[in-house]
Amino acid sequence: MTGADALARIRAVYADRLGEARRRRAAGATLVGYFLNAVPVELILAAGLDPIRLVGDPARRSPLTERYLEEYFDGEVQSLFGAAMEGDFADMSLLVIPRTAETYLQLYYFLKEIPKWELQASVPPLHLFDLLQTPHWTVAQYDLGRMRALAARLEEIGGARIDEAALRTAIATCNRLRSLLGQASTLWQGDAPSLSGVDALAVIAAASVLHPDEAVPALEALVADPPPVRRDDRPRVLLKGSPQSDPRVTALIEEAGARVVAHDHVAGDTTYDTLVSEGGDPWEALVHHYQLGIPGLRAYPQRAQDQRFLALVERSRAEVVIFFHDQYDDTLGWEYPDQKKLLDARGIPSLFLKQQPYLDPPVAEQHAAVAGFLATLQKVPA
Amino acid sequence: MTDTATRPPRAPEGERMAATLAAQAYQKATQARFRAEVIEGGGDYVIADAVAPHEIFHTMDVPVISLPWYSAVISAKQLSPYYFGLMDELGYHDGLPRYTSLPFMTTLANEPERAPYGGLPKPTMILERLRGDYGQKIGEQWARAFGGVPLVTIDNSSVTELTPGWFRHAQSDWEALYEPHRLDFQVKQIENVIAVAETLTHRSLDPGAFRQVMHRVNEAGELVDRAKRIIAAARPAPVSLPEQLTNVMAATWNRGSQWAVDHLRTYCEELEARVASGVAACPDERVRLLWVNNGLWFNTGFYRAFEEKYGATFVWSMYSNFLSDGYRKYFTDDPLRALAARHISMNEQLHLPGWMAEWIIEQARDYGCTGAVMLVPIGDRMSAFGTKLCAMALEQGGIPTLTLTASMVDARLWDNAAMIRKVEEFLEQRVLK
Repeated sequence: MTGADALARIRAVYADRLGEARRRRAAGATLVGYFLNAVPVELILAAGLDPIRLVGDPARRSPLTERYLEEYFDGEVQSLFGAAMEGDFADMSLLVIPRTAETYLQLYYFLKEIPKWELQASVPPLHLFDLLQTPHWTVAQYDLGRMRALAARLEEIGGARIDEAALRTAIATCNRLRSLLGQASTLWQGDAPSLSGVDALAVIAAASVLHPDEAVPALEALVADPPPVRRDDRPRVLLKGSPQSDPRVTALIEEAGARVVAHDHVAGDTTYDTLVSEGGDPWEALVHHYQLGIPGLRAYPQRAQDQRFLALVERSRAEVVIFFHDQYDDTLGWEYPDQKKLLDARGIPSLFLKQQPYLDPPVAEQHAAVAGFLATLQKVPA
Repeated sequence: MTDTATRPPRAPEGERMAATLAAQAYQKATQARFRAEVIEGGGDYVIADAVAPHEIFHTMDVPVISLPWYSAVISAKQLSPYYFGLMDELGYHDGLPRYTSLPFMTTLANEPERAPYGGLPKPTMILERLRGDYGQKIGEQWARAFGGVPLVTIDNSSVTELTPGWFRHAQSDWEALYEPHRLDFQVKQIENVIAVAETLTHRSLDPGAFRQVMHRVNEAGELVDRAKRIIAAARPAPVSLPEQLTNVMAATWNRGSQWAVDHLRTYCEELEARVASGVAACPDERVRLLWVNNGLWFNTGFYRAFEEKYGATFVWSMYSNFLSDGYRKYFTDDPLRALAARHISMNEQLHLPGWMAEWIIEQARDYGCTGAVMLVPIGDRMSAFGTKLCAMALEQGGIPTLTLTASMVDARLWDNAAMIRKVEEFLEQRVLK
């Protein structure tokens, strides 16, 4: 496989995850769909099942969403609910919803309730993965129990009994994917980039859409045979905040005259920078990783999250940060004033796009805000 | 319409129940004690989320300031616009949760002359139950704003199955309802809270005293259930909703105390005496209404705005008898596990689709309500989730429902005339027709 072939495949599955799911289902796979970055795919792989991360599609609407969900739900969650109502997830033998964001927890309860109201709704079997991220020993013990419960549920739907050897193999495979993403990140974070910020999102996502049997060789090919570099003097932007599970905002920023070199959200660059320990007990290693080692809305203390953010700013050599928060954000806005102070202290300009709608966004207004902000940067004497 | 000559006497304007006056006096005495022992004396106290095991601190005789209680006081004193303005100035955008942020803002403002009771002094600890996503964010910053106090958290496990009819299982059959693995975890977390509290206050939790506190909460719940049956059966209702709330909430905030039990017993006896003598909150009562979802703390007079013109009176809100249905947890051996069960799904029972609606429909039937007004809070989406499905379930159950979208605490966003007009139209078009 050439790097160009790999990139084409990555772009294709990024653009059509559900098509990819249908293809694998038709080929006989038992698919386990999941949301967000907090479901231990290692368990799914160790059970011999096929994991695929599902995201919202702003173009996918269902009239049932407006009927049942309050407008205050995150736009992407509204989209996922609509997709579930329209049967988009019918190929999934199980849909795993992590509890790492309140609106996703609510989504779980709404999907559980909805068959009472919509008899035709074909919601797949659901599993709540009640992962908590408070940094305490007691919580780790609770999370271990939830990992075991997920493993038992995977067995119930036809997965193999998860033994230690299979789990170690799956952890090594997923770590390989994370390491490859780390290597690939030079393609969008380097001085002479060969991939745009939009492509960066696709590459990061590919690791959770493609089965590792295909994702590993694709990423290896991309790293070994990258697209040609191109000169790019546009300001280097780090995009931070609400999940960017589709490329619209990144594309808008790049069209406005910047280059997105890093993403700090649950579909971005901080999702692969920590490996699962391959020594010791694999269950405890998984708990440690998902409790403390991944980014998440509920994770704290804030200082640790901010250090991770600043490390990404430095690693990507971002010159500018754009904060982008969902329309009904009730959490990230608490962090913003302190994070802006941290950037101000380092002389890094930032733009805050707050309360931005996922559905029907004001694109012209957003473009003008970003372009106006970038124009102010150019006026600053070197 | 009831003939004027046969109407029961209306409780004179401004003449409150003796129990209401006693509850207010007790609250004042509690505040005076807080001022003397904590503000002036530098004693220990804890700031805690409402849905948290206050019983531990009550047993240890450590005062607790409940977050929503202090928010409601700030709001009732019409101070919320000032603190929301401060929030804007500091860069916290206006879509952030307002209900839980007001007390934090009083600390950032650091203006004792403006804040209720002179503002909150540095607490021994802040106890947050991490129900949503942001409690830890506010808690960390607030702890820092106090100059560094311990932030103690209870993380919020989530129930996997919503067993129908939670209110029929919640008092005695709670082990299966709330799921054993969650209760195990909650017990460990509460044990951690006890250890921290004992370390910081140099006091010990007396197991015998704690057991008595837990029994008294159940006893208080039984009395609230008795009050419910009195109000539900009487026509017209002997007490207004604001007075119900004053009496029940005073007992809720002081749960586990002998005062709460004695107070509720006196309250029940006074209700019975009122019924016997025909005293009514709204003598011309023609329509009974439910107030669904959170309270309208800065304008409790709104609950009574429809009595004179329509004989429409609110007889129930979710605070009316949650101390009975939600708080009571009977136990034989293990009061700590019962305490774990008390708070583990409290918000879920009040706000999740399914659980929320089925309880409220049951209340409507018990109280004889034929209409509901539901508050959908702005800026606190946690309390807004599930309101559509709840309204649909109420309508399906034959209870016309009006939703009012408003802030629970921000008086700036409340258009009283428009809201009254909406309820009047609802009464005329859907309830009284």
